[in-house]
Amino acid sequence: MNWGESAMTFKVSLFNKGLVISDLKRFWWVSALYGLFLILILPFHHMVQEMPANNSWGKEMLQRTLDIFSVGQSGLQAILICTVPVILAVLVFRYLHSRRATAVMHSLPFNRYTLFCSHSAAGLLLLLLPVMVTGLVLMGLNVTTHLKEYYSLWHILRWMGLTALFDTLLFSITVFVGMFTGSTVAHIAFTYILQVLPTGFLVLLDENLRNLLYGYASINNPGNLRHDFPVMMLAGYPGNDYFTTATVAAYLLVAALFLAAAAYVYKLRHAEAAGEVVAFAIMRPVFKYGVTACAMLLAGAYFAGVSRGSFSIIVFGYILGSLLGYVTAEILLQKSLRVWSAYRGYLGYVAVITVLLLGITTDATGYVHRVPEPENVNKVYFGTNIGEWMRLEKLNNTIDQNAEYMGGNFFEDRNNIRNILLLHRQLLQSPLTENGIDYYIVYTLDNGDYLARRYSIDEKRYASLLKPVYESLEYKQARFPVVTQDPANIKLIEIGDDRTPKRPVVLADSAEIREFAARLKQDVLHATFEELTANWEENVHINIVDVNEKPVHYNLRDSYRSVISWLKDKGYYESIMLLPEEIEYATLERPTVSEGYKTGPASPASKRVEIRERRLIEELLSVSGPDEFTNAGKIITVTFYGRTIAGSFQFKRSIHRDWPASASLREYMKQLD
Amino acid sequence: MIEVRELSKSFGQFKALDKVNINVNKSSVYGLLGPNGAGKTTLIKHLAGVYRQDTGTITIDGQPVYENPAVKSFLVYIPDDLYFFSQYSIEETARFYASLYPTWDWERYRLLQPVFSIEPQRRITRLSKGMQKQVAFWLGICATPRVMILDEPVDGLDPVMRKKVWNLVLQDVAEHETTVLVSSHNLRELEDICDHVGILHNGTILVEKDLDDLKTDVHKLQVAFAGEVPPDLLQTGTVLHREQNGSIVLLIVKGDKDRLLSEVQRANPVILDVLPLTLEEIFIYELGGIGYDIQSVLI
Repeated sequence: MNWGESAMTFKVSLFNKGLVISDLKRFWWVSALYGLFLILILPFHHMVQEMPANNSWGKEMLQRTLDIFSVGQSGLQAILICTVPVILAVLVFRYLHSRRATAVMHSLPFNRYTLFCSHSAAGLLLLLLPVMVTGLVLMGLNVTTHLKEYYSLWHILRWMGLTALFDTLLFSITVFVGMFTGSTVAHIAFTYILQVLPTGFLVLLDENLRNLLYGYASINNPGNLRHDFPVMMLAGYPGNDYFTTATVAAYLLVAALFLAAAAYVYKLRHAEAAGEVVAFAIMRPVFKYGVTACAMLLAGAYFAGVSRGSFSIIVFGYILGSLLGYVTAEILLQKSLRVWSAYRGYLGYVAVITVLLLGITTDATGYVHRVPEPENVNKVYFGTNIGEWMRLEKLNNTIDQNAEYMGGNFFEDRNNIRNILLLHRQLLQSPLTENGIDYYIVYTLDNGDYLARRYSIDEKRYASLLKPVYESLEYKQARFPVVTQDPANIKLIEIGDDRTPKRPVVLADSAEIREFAARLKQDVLHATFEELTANWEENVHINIVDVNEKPVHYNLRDSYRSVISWLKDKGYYESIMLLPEEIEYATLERPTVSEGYKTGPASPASKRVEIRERRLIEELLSVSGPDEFTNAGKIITVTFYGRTIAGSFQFKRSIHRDWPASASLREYMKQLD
Repeated sequence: MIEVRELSKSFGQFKALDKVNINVNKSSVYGLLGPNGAGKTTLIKHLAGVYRQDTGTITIDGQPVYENPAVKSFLVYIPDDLYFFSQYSIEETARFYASLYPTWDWERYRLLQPVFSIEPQRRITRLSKGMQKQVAFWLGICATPRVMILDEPVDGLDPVMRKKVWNLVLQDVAEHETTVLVSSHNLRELEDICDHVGILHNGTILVEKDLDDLKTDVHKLQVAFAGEVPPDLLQTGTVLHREQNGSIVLLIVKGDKDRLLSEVQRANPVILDVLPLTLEEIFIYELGGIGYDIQSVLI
């Protein structure tokens, strides 16, 4: 080589061979280990794996190893994707975190872009080479061995592409994060924290507001943010059809943007930032108060959980959490344990938070008591499943008319809207959090805004207000799709009693289907609020399968008289249902420890009482009352034994001592003591 | 060659450099003196293009240094705290530097090997600190830079090696007109090497002097008289210091030596001696009050 080349001209290029080689020489072992792991868990594994006789099962098994999102064996791949790019990015840019190395590297005849591009290129090369090599080995084996029967070249290419994509994405995020810190430990910590921060912060904020504001509900779905951060994405399966060309291009663009932004930040960064936890002075308050706020919310959520929402304990949690967070952040920033001099910043924070808390607890914006006027409401969602609302309303999914009931419904009928508003007002007047189910009320206002609230509602307590809603056509249409379903679209109906070994009946004749559907619809429309909210046991099921093979599940309730009489008329009733006379005897027993909570003196070998009186057996089948199964001492397990033409059977149900029962049954119950 | 104008730099609340001005001529050896914490390393990291100044300008050969590979390619910086790639041998590091510096000289590299007598195959990070320093000089000299910036360069070297290293550097200055800036907290260390000295204290330059001028300008005279000391002993020159002990007078005078001597002769002294002045003394007398301040920290 000609070293003496004219000294006067100096070429500036973005890549310096010497720098790239220096990284390869120093960090090749990471790449080699990564490659070794990949070879072991993919081609090597495939070659030594004993194939099951069933070819399709083997196919499924091997193809799954080439899917980085699937659980099981390739969970290992997800771990590698979450660690190797981070390790490499930290290593190639570690010189930024050491004063000595920073001084020397920046005194050499490079500018920062050359340093950045060379190190990035070396890192990516080290990262992607093992993926390429593994892919080539897989391809070679695929062409030459029996493996071609299990997966195709396409599967390999897909694996290579997605692995490389995620490796690159994580690498570029890590590089970007590294520019903001001057400490290797902080670099690694920030990289992972950033992945969970957006989701985590929203969840924490929601959790805290819920404890502070009666009725608070969030309609900002944190689930969508998840896909923006690769580590979170790998934690949950995004779905196979998620990776279209557009998604891949978008992720590549994001990776490129992260790198470009990192290069720009590098240019701004001062060399003396080496050794600092936060490299930019203007970011230090962000870091400090960010840590303080997160620690405060975390402690608040924790203490609210422990204390069942006691306000003073929550405030104690806030003070403790924020103080710990603030002091920790100060210690990290000042690199000293003597941080008392920074108390002013904390006082400022406390002042701001106090104002905010006062604002929230005194409901300065009128959030808690805001109830829309009926004429401003377009429609209202009332139900337990905010995810469903999100999907239908925010993501604009078309409403499938025959969709299965997901726990909620939109109401557009004026009467229903008025009734729900009445319920809402009533809930505000008696803000009690008691045993109830969490319901969401989400109004869609006529100006397009949403007003969302969440309350714990006890159906019994608010029965008078819920009754007209539950008995309305809209409610029944949503909860029981059969009401609107065209019988011509029904392929078959299956009715069976889960308690007996009798085979269920399947209606496939269109005339029978039509008759049955009509009667079921009639029974559903006549069902009262009390019947709809009664505690029923799922004994008899009805499955209505439409022409698209989509089943909808119903329960045959005792109140469905029309359906039951139809089944009797048709002669199906006896061949599918449990008949009381088929039961030979029943036994009463205190539940064993594993069945209930250990509150009473329940001995494992508890007493058994046998009952053979027909009248009492029928009573045991039908006895019912409020479902308060919290006191295990009062629960009795009834086991029924019987025989039908289809064979012998037994089944269990739980009853409660306080339920209304005949005197002779009570006598039997007493024998258990 | 190196020109720093009104350079200021703060690290957070701490003002490390405050309107610093220095000027280093081509082919000269400039000693940057100052106690620990004066800001020498900070100033040097600006000269090497590592730090970006808050205000002011730093130019070498008329061009800014920061983010300017063209300047950095003829500049070698040997920091106090050395850094070499882990895993790299001397030979490999030499190859890396050779690819960076257009004026790299392999011939010199081989010629200098016996001077340092360290196996080129050895990994640098496994060498002792003193040996690493020697390697840094070896490689730095081979890059035949036009500017060398040395931060506390001979710390950790034994006296023999110090001498060798300085000889090599000074030889470069003579042969290649290299400009050298060297920092130290020890005045005596630099006395024999530098032709210019700048004293940095609390982030400001207290004084910047040409040592030859100082040495030819300031004189220490010891004069004894038989009788009374004549009151008007000197007509020209500035008396920086006067100490009288009976009929013996000790004078530190700034002025032309021959003229001063002839003036004193006219008063017919019994003894007239011109005593050698150390650089230390010159500074103390020259700077007066500040001189005493920095005396305690420099020596």
